[in-house]
Amino acid sequence: MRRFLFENSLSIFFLVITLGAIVLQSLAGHRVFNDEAMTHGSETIPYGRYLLSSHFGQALAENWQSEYLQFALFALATVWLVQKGSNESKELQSVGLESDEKQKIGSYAASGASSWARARGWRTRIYSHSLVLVMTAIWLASWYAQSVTGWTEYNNEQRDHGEATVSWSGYVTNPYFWEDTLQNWQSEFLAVGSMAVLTIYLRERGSPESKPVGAAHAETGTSG
Amino acid sequence: LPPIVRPVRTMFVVYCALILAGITTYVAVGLTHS
Repeated sequence: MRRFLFENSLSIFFLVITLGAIVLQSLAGHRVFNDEAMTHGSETIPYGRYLLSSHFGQALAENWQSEYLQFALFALATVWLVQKGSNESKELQSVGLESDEKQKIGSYAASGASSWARARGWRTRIYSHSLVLVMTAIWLASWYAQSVTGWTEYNNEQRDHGEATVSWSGYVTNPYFWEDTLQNWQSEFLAVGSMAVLTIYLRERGSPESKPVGAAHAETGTSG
Repeated sequence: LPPIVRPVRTMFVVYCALILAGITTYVAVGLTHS
């Protein structure tokens, strides 16, 4: 058990603080929801019902989608784009998909590697992009979840104000949807862009997100 | 397979389940209530 906790400490730590933050978000969101309900003279709802509300779902989904977009885009962009001196970039001469030997494809596959890395053909092609494919699928699915929960919320407000409701396609071409979407995107793009640049000059001793403390500023992609 | 694989696979499944459960729940919620 101790060994399990040690070997998985990074993912367990983030899983625990994710669940903790979701619980706190739901408690705060429940109070906001009921506050607004009282202001509008509509009925308040119990906590359990709030967990299954579009209000809570939208708040979760709009942040999830932008995170998965960020990571998918970063994984893809760093295949072709580089930043000299950054720990987030690979070496300048390695731009592109790289050789089968360097990528350990086919007969170069390591023991314990997926059989799809060894198979070649369509299986190797899919497995070669499985990370970005899955991240993109999660991004699109959570963006869709944002759109349907946001749509419900938008129509609820329209009804509260005695105004006309809209169709799903009407909602996704509406500035409310795009404001919610883009305000999340901009912060993610800023965060990855600044991480790429800050790691040229700044260090965190012992972190794989940083170059070694004494690495030269021009040294690219050398986690410490 | 090396012994490390099983616990790592558990974490992989836990994360996939969390993401899938979240997305499916709120797509269903959104579609049901609109």
